Amino acid sequence: MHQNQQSAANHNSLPDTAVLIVIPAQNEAATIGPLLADIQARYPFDIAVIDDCSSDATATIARDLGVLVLPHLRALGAWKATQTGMRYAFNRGYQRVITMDADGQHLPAEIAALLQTAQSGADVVVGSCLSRGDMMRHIAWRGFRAVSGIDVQDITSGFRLYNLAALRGLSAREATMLEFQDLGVLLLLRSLGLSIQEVDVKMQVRTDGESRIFNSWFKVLSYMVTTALVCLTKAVPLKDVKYLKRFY
Amino acid sequence: MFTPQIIGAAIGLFIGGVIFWLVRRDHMVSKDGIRWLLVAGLIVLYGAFPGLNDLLGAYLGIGYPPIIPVLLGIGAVLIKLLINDTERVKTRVDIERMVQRIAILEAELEQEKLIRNNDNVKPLNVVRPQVNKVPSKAVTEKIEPFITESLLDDVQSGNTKRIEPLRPRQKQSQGKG
Repeated sequence: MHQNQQSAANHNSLPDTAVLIVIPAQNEAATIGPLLADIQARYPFDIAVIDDCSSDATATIARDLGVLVLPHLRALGAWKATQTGMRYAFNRGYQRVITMDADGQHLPAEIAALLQTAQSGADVVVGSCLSRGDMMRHIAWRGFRAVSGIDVQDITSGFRLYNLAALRGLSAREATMLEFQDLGVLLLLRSLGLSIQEVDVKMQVRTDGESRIFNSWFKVLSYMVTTALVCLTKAVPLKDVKYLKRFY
Repeated sequence: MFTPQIIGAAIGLFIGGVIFWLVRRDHMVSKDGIRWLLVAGLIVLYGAFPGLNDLLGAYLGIGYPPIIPVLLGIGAVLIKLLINDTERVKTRVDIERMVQRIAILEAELEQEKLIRNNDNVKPLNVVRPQVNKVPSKAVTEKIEPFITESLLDDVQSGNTKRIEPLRPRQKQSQGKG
């Protein structure tokens, strides 16, 4: 039996409350349909698309496929859209959340790898693909890793699995203050004393060839400076009590 | 008293009057009003008695005493901007979390509607979060006036299926006169 089919068969024995796949989307009408159909064909898990104020048919396509849509009435960005899905999952009693991009970069077939790695007991599993990104980006990642002390190779990957403990922490108010699902989230998880594990996954090159977040040099510069500040300010882990007290 | 002193004091009094009016007409919170009135008071004091500035300059060893109020003013403005920024972030986070919560509620409503209208729809996870069965003191105080005696009887007898309309409990007459 093919490895993915084997994984899918194993997942069928899981209860419906086991996993929620969270997909933040903004104007992804071109890619969201095939992506959702692919996930539905492979896994029995619930899917939630967080429509970050799209002006195209993203939400309609998702609804037509029977997928739950959580519509933002104002665009909050990819991370906060992801957090909406996490808060929903935590409220509804889901045990795990898998986050993935709606642009088709993350492959549904690789979800099995995340789930398999999570069985080792890690609180968070990061789907890592180091072959993407140019040399400059890799130098920047290395710098951020050195300053923050985070031992994750692909710090910007949004293809991740979070367990209940991580969901609880990331549903907190402090996490809403973060801008991206990258280093800030990993640092927060470290403050909570949660374990992070990485697994190599394949990713697809974006079909439209352009990042939604880094589509100008100014945005890249802004991201670099912001992330550097987050690295420096949170290099020493915070006390987890703070997050738990202010939860929700 | 010279004219510049009168003008300085008048500016302070005018600012004080404006603050008073703003608080009176609910355009400003009283806590902020006190801070601003303090500033207006200082302007009146400095305006009416500019000599105080020279005394302070000599005491602090500042060669050009008129710069003192300017420095103090810039410092106060910077602190105020900083406070405003932190307040703005809090408000922004509140709004963003409300947007998230509305999205969650809207999705849940949509689910409920689908399930109600179509038996074939497979409901998504319907596990409810565990709630604390013992209400807090604040909650008890809030619902206490609405607890009717018949409802209490039902709870005690285990017959809680009947739904009583909630209405405030009648106060017992005090036997006036």
